Amino acid sequence: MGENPLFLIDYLMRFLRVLLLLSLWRILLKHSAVIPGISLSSLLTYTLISEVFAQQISCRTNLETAFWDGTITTRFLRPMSIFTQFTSEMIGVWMVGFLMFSIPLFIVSPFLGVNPYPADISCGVAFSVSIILEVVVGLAMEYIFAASAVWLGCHPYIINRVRSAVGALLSGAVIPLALFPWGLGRILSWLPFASTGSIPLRIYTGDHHFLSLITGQLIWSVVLWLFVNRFWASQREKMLLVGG
Amino acid sequence: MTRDLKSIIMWYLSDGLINIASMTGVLLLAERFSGIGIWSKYQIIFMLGYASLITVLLSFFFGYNVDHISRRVGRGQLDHTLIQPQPLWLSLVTEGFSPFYASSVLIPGIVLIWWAGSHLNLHYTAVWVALLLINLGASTVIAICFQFIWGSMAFWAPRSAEEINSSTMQLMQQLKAFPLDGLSPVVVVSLLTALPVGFLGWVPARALLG
Repeated sequence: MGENPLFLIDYLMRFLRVLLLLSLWRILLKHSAVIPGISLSSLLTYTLISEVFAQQISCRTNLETAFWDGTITTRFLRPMSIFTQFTSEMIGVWMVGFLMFSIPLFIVSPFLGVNPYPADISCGVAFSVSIILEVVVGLAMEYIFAASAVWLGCHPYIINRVRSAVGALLSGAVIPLALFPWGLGRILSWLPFASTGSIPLRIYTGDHHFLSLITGQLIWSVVLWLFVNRFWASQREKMLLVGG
Repeated sequence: MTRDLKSIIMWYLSDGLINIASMTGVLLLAERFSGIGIWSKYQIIFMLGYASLITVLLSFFFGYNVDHISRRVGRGQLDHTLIQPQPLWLSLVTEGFSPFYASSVLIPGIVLIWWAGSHLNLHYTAVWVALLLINLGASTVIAICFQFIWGSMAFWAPRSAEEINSSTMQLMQQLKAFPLDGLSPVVVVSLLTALPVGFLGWVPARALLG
């Protein structure tokens, strides 16, 4: 990807998206009544931090590509667990994103009229714990969706797209769950998707229910990884590549 | 996709799910705030319906990575097309024609327009329907041209720009159903020129809703 600086255009697109989302919240809250518990300032911070940590929130490995091009077979031959391989690669890719996009966005955010800092020190500390648990839950979901592709016998590309679309909506990473009508946000906050977006971002922007929020993430981490171990192990043997 | 019935059902359901999920966010916001900015809830729903039909048309006529032309260029697949004994445009048009793809969004898109129209007292005259179709066609052409312009970068940088159209498409999909009123003039001009997402929902919806 790095033979030409054109790959930076991807970051430019993301930057434009942030600008538009920030503008959208400003328009919405200008014409609408104040939402209980959410100020415009914290909503802007929520959106900004969601984009700064977009890679961690989406938590995607190269698993789908490995299924698609068949290189998953050679992965099984390597003297390292599948989980470690893909997780290591994912973290490696994060470094590029951090340097090229996340850190610059964080630095320029005051010029966009957004306060990039956590609500207070305790929120910052709790956020750092929450974002780690968020990655743990996100990775578990990555393997569950991948194993589902094997189980259903469908193209991993479909499952990948479904996860992206549904995850973006249900995690509250793009639109905070608190903005959903009919109390939908309260219901969705119980799902594991909320652990991969809404919870760390709520903590960062000043939700002080650290204990219950992080406990929820912890419970989902344990439950999902117990499930992953069984589900992945059962589906690994059923993997079909290049129709064979 | 049409390998067997199970694959067809899987593709169809997942495609519908993906597109409905991408629409739901805007719908929920419109419901919660009774609209977005100066746009009422039903005007937003109309714009959403219109924008979803652009997705359908793009997939109908420019599937098979024609709407992600950077992939074909970056992977060297365009070379295969160039050596075929027919003009390039004909190859792309025939290969890209995939009427089943995204068809799961067609009915929801029409229903959204119909539902919004019934609350906005729209009169579905022949002229209005013709205008709708012309606008849909124009928006689709703008979208595909935008994709080709950015996708051409893969000629210079096959690896780094191979997936550039995924980013541009994602940008269009995410922003096409948002009204641009209230944005700074610089941003609005940018969104009508360099990144013409305004023409995929906002401008046509304003025209069609009068």
